[in-house]
Amino acid sequence: MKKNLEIYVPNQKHKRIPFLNFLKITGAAVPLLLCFGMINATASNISGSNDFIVKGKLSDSGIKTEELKVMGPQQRNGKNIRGVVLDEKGEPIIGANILVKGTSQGVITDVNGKFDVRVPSEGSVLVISYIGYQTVEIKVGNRNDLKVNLMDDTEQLAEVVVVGYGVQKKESVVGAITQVGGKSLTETGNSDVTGAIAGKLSGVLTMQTTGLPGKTQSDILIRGVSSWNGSSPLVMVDGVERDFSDLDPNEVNTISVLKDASATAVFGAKGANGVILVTTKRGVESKPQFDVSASYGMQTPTWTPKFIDGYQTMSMWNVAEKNGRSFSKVVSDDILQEYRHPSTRLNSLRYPNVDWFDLLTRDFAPVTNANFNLRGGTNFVKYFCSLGYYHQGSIFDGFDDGGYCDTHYKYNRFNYRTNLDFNLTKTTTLSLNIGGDISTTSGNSQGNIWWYLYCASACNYPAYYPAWALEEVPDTDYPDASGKRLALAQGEKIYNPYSYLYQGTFNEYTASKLFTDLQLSQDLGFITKGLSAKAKVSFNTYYRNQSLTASWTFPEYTLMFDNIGTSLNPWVRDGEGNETWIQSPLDINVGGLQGDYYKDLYYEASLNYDRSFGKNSVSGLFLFNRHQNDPNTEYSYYNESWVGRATYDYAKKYLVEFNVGYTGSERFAPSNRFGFFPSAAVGWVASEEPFIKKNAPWLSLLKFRYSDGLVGSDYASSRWLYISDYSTSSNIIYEDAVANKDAQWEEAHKRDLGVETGFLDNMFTFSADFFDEHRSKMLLDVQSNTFLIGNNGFKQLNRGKMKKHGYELELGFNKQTAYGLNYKLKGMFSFNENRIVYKDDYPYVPNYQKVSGTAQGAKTGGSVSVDGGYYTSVDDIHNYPTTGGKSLDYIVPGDYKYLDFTSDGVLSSLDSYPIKGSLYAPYSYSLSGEFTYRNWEASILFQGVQGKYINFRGTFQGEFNSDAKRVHEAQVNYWTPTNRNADHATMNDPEIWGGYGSGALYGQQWRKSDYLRLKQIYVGYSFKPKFLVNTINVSKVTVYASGNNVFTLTNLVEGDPEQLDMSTDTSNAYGTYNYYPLMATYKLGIKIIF
Amino acid sequence: MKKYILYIFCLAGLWTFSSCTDYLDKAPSSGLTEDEVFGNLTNFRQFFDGVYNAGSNLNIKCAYNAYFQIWDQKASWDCLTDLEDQARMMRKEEKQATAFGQSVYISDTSRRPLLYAMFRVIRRCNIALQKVDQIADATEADKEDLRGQAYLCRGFATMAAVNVWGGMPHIVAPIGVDDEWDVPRLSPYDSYLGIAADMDSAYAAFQKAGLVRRDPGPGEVGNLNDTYQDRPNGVAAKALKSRALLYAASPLNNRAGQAAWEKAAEASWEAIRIALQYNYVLLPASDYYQNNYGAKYTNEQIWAYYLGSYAYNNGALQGMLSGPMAGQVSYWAGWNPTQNLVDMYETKWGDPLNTEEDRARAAALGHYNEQNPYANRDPRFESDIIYNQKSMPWSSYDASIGENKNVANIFYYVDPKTGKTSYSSMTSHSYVGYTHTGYMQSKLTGNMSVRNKVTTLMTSSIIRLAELYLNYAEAANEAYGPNGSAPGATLTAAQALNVVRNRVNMPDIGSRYTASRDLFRERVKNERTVELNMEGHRWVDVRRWKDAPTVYAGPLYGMDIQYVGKSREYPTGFKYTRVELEAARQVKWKDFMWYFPFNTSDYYKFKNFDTSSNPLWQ
Repeated sequence: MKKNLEIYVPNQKHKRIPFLNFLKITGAAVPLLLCFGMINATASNISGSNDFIVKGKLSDSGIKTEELKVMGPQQRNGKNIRGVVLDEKGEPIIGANILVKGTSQGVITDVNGKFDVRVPSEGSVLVISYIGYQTVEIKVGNRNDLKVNLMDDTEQLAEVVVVGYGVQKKESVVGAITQVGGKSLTETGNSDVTGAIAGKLSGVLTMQTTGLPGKTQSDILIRGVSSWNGSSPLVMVDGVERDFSDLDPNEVNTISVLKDASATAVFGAKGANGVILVTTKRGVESKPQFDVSASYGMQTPTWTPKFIDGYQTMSMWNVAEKNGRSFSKVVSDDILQEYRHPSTRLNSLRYPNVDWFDLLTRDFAPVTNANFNLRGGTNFVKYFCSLGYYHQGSIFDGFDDGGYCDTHYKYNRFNYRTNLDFNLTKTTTLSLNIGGDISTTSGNSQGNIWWYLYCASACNYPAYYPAWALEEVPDTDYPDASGKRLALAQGEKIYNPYSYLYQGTFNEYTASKLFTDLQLSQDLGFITKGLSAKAKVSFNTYYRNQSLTASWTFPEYTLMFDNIGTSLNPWVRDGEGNETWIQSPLDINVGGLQGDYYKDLYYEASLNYDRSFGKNSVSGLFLFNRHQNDPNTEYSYYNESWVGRATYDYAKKYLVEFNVGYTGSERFAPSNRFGFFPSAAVGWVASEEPFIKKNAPWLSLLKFRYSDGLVGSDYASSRWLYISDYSTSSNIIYEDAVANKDAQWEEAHKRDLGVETGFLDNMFTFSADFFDEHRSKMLLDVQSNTFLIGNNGFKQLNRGKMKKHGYELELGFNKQTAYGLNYKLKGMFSFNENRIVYKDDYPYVPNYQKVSGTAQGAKTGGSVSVDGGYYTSVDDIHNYPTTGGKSLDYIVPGDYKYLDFTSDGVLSSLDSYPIKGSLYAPYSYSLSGEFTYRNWEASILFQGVQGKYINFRGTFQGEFNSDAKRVHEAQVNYWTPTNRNADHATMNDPEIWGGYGSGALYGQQWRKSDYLRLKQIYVGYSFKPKFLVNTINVSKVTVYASGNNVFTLTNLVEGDPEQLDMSTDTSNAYGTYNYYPLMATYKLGIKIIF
Repeated sequence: MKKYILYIFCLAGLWTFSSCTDYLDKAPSSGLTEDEVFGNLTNFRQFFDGVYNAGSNLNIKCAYNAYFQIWDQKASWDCLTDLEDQARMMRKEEKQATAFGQSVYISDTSRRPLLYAMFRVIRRCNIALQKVDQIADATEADKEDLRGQAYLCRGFATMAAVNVWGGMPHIVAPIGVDDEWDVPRLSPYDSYLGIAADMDSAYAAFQKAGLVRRDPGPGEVGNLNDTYQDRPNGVAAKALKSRALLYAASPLNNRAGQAAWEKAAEASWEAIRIALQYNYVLLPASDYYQNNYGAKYTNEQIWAYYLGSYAYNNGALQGMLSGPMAGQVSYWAGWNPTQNLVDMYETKWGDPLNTEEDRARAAALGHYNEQNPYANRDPRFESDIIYNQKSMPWSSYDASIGENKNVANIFYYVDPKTGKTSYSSMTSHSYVGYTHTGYMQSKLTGNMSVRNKVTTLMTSSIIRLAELYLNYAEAANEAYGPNGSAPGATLTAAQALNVVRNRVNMPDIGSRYTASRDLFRERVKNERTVELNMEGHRWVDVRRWKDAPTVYAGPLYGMDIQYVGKSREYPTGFKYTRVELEAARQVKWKDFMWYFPFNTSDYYKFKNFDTSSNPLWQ
C-alpha cells in the first residue's frame, strides 16, 4: 500500500501522507477518513468544489486539532466516471483507492464498492488499488461506467518466505531461497506436485523418468548434481521430513526451495543437496469458503516409436546378413515381397508385419481429478479441509475378464487433509494436521510392457493366431480346438508383448499414507516480549498391501508352417509334453504387506525470539528434534538435531544471520556421530539508503546478499560402515569387508552471492545468484585392491571430493495496462557444472582414463569412442589400425571406426577416453507468462535444457538386438555406398558378432538430448451465473482448459529427452526396461467457489 | 492453562536433554568375533565350508568340470574347444573378450568368476591353516583333516588359475590390508611345482588323519557313503599332484626338460599305486557311464562332486541338451559334438579314423564305411554321442519323410517331386537350438529327453582313476618311451594306456603305434581326448601340448545327413557328407589365446605382477 493521495495541508505546504484505513461512511455520502497520524477525523465538502476539509487530532501532538484540505476531482474539464470495484469472487471492495494518474485527485469506493470520479480527459488513466490486491491501471476512453475486478496479489503473499523451521519476511531473507505458491501449481494440469514445479523455481531441475500410472513422480535436482552418492534434496512437508509426491496440488500452500548453506545449515547432515519445504493450506478467519473443482483429461504419449514395417525390416536384415557373410540367413526376394503383400491369408501369419504400438495401445489414457475443500475460521478455530480424487488410466490395452482380472494399468488416489488451529488462549495455539492418501495401483504384473513392445520383432511371428488360422490349419492333437491362439515369440529372447498383455497376470496394490502432526505454540511474552515456544509431535505411517493378484495363463503356440501337409502336427504348444492340456482356472489371491512400509516418529521443541528495538530487529531460534524412521529393517534409523539461528537487522538495510545445525545419526562411527554445521550470511539493502532513494528513485530494490557455510549429506549405500566382523549365512561363516572406522557424512562447503533488483516500482525485476560448492569426505568404493587379496574388499571410505559452481538468473516483468490486460512475464536461466576432484581410480590407469577430473554424469573411461567416421572401403579397413588382428574378419565398409586415441596403431581399451557432455544438463531455462484480461486468465510455460546427453543403448542404438528382427527409426538412415553421410552405420546382426559390434559407438550411444518443452498452457474464464448465485449462492465459476507437455522440440531422434538413459538393458534402473511413456495431458475443468 | 503448558515444556525439555547420549547408540548386535569363529570346531568348519559352498559362486566349484548351476557354467570348458559346437559358447572364446568392454566372464559373480573365486578359496585355506591350532574342541585327526583339505584346496585353486591365466604367485598366507598386493608372478612351471608341494603337504596331513581314503573300499559297508564324501582325501592329493607335474612337464610349461617328465611319470605311478592300494578301480564297461550320471559316487572317482538329481527340463541341464531334446526349442543349441570329435572314436578293432588316410586304411580292412559311419565303433561312442539312427525308443517319427521308429532321426529329406526340403523331427530348422553338426551328446545326460522325462543323478568327476593311467602313459612315454616305465612301476606307458582301453573292451593299442614316442604320443592324446571328453580337460590339454595353433587351424566339421533311400551306395538309406561348419561357428586361433585376459581394471592395478602374458583378446 504505497499509493499515496496527495493531501493539501495548510501551513505545511504539501505533505505526502499515506491513506491507511477507511473507517465508515456517513449518511451524507462524504467519506470519512483516518489519515496517518490523525484520530477522530471527520471530513466535509468544501462547498462549490469536490475538495474536502479533514479535521482531526494529530496523534503525535496529542491535543491539537489539525485541518487538512484534500483535493477533490477538478470540475472544470473532463468528465465523470462511475464504476464499481469487485474482488475475484465478485464481492464489492469497500475503500479501494481510485487515483487519476499523474494528478492528486482520488476517491475511495463506498460500501457497495462504487465510486464516482472526475477525470480531466478521455486519455486519463485510473489507478485502482487496494491492499492485498494487484493494482490495476485503466485508461478511461469513452466509457462512462467501469467495472473493475481486482485480483489477489500473490506477490503480497510471497512477502513471507518459508525457511527452515520458520518463516521470514522476504525483505530480510539473506539465503538463496525461491518459492512458488499453490495456485500456480494447480494451473499446471499436472496432478503430481513434483512435476508441477517444473520450470517454476530457478535452479531446480525436475526429471520425469516414467509415466506409469502411480509412478509419475519426477526426480528433483537443486543446482545440479552434487555427489555420486545421490543428489536428491531433503523434502519436508509442514516441517517434517516426508515425501510430497502424492500430495494433491490443491492442498499445497507454498513450496519453498532452500539452496545455499545459510538456508540449509539448520538441516545439518541432511541439507547438502538442498531442501524443499512444502506447506499445506491452513484456515483463515473468515466465513466458510467452499471450493469445488473437477477436471477430465486425455493423455497421449509424448513419443511413440515410429513403425518400421516388415518389408523394410527384412530388407535391412538382408543387408546385415550379407555384411556378416551369413548368406544362409538372407531372405529371398519372393519372401521379401510376402512381408509386403502376403500371397495367401496364411502367409500373412508366416511373414507377419506387426505394428505393436498400433495394435496394443489405446488412443488415449483418461485422467480425472476432483477436489473439494473448505476453508474458514472463527477467532477460536481456523480450519482447512480438503478431499481430492485422482485417476490415471492405461495407455496400453489389456485383458479384462469383466471380473477380477483386469490387466490395464490404473492408478486411483484419494487425498484427504484436515488442518485445524485452535486458539486455546490468547497466547496459546494448538494445531492439528491430519493428511494423507489412499491409493490403488493396479495393472499387468509385467511392469516393463513398453520394453517388450519396443523390442519385439515386427516380422518374426504374428501377434497372435486369429481364429481362422485354426480353421484353416486344424490342430491334430486337439481337433475340437477353436478360437484365437496366443503366439510364441518364436526365435526371440523377448517375450511376445501381446501375450503378456492378454495372459491376464494382474496385481493390485493398495497403499495408505497417513501424516499426523500435533503442535502447541505458546507466546511467552509474559517472560520477555517476543519470546515464544513450540512443541510438535508428528507420526507418519505408510503401508502398501498387495490387495489382489490374479493370474490366468493361456498357452502359447507356434504354427510350424513346414509341417502343414505332413503327418506332423503343425501346432506346437510351448513346453509341450505328452500330457493333455487343460485350461487352469483363474487364480486369485491376496498378497501380503509389501516390504516398503515404514513408521516414522518425529518430535521437536523450540524456543523463538523476535523483537524490534527501534530500528534494530533481533530474532533467535533454538530447536531440538529427534526422528526415528522405522522401515522394514531390523534396526530403525535415528536422527537427532540441535539447531540454532540468530538474525539481526538494522533499519531493514543491514542484515546478518547465523545458522547452526548440530546433527547426529546412528549411521556413523561413534567418534563421528555428530556433525557441526555452521553458516553465516550478510545482506545489504542498498535501495533503502537515502542516497539511492534520492538519486535513483526508479530503483525500487537493490539488495546484495552473501552466505557461506557447511552442510552435510548422510546418504550411505550401506549402514554399519564402521563395523566389521564375521557373519553366518546359510551355515557358512564369512569374513566381512574391511570396516571404515571413521565413517561419517559428506561435507559440503557452500558459498552464494546474490543480487536482487527491482526497477520502476518493481515493474521490472532482475536477480542473480552465483554459487560454488566444495564437497569432501564423500563415500567411495575402493577400486584399487586386486583379486589376489581374495577378501571381500573394503567398506566405503570417506575419501571422495567434488566441486561445483554456477549461477541463476531471473528476469521478471509485471504490467497492468490501462485496457485491463494484466500480465507477468518471467524468464529463468541457470547454469551449473561439477567436477570430480578425487575418486579412487586404478593406480596405473592412464590419466585421461581417470574419473577424477571429469564431471559426475559424464561419459568416462570404459566408454567406446569413434572418430565419427565410417570405413569407406576394403582398403580403408586394411589401412586402419587393427584391433589385435581380429576385427578384419567382421568389419565391412560402412561400419564405424573406433578412434585410435593413443595413436599406437592398435585399437585397444587404451583408446577409450572421456567424451564431452553430461547426463545432467548444465543449462536449464524457462519462460513463462501469466495474463489476465477481464474474466479471462491464461498462463504459459516453456521449459528447456541445454547441454544434456543421454545414454542411448541396447535396442535403441543397435539393430536386430536379442535375435529380434527389428529395426528402429534411429537406424533407418544407415550407411550404404550411396548414402555415405548416414546417421547410422551399415546393418549388422549382433548374433554374428556376438555383441553389438559397430553399433556401440560415439554419436550413437551418447546422444545430445537438449529439449524445449511446452510444459504448461492454461486458459480460464470466470463468470458468475445468475441462476446459480440465486439458488446455491455460488460466487464464482471458472471453466478452464489446460495442457501440459504439449510439444517438445529436441534433437534426439528417438525416446524422451528427459530420460537419463534410453536403454534396453534390463539391469539399468534408469533404462527403459521399466519405462512407460511420459504423457502429454489435455484437460477440461471447472472450478466453483461458494 | 499457561502454567500447565509451561510445565509440559519443562518436562519435555528435561527428558530430552537427559537421554540424548544413548538415543543414537544403536548398532546391530555384533556378528561373530575371531575367537568365536576359530575357537570351536563347528564354527571353524562353517568357516572352512565356504571353500566349497560360499555364495555368489565364489567357491571352488567354479573349477569343477561339470559344475553347472547357471548358464555360463554348464558350458564347461569343452564347449570352448574344437570338440563341441555350442554356438553361443564357442564363439564366446574368441568374441566375448573382443569388445572394448572386456569379458564379464572374469569377475561377474553371476557368471563363472573363476579367478576371483579361486583367490577367495586360497585366502580361506590360508586363514584355516593359520588358525587350525586355535580350535579348542577338535581331535588331532579333525585338525589334520582340515589341514589336508586346506593344502589340497589351495593347490587345486591355484592350479585352476594357472591353467587359465598362467603362472601365479604361491600365496601361503592371507594378505592383510596393509600387505603389498602387487606381488610378482612365478613361471607356470614353478607354479605347478608349488601346487605339487601343496599336494604332498595335503597327503601328509590326510595320512596323519587316517583319511587317505574317507570311505571303506568297494564291497564294504559304508562304501562311497562317507559324511564328507564330496571332500578330497589323500588319494586325491596324490592324484592332483600327478596332474600338476604332468602339466608342469608339458611343452607349454616345461623348464626342466626330461627331468620334468620323469618326475611326472614317477608322481603318476605313485598316485596309481596308492589309489589301487585303497581299492579304487576302473568301472566295468557296463557301468562306465556312472562316472558322469546315474550314480551318486563310484569307486573310480577319487574326488567327485555329486550335483543332485536333475530332471530333463532343469534349466541348467537344458544347456547340455539340444533344443529338441530339452523341450526348449526357442534357444538352446545344446552340446553338439563336432565331426572332429566323432572321428577320434576308433573302430572297435582299434583303427584310428582321424584323417582321410586313417579312414581309407580302416575301410580297406572292411572296418569302416563312410556311408555307414557309426557301425563298429569304440563302445564309448555309443555311450557318449547321439547320432543319426541311434536307438532312442521314445522318439516320434514321420515315415513319410523317411523317419524311423524308436531311433534318433537327425537328417533332412528333399522331396524329388517338389524339391521341398523337410527336416526330421530332431533337426527342425524351426528350432533355434537345432544341431549344426548332426550330433548331440549323451555322455553327461544319458537318455534324457523331453519325450523321456527321467530324473537322473548327476555327478562331476573332478579326478578319476582313468586319468591317472593316462597321465602315466603320457609322462612315461616322454620320459622312457612307449615301452619304458618309471622306476618301480609295473606298467609300461603302452600297458597303462591299454588298461584304459581294455576296460571299455577296446583292444590293445596297435603295435605300429608303440614303435616310436611320436606315434605313441598322438595315440595317447587321442585316447585322453576320447576318455575324458566333456569332462573339462581339452581346453588345457590342447594348450599345454602346444597343439592349439594346429588344432584350431583346421576347420570344424559337421555331418550333413540326407535321407535318400537305401541303395548299394547308401546302405543305410542316408547319404553322409562331411561339411565345414558355417564360418561363424568356426574357431580360429590367435596368438593371444594361450591364456585368458584379466578384467581390464586389473591391468591398471599391477606393476610387479606382470600381465604381459595375458594380453587383452581383441
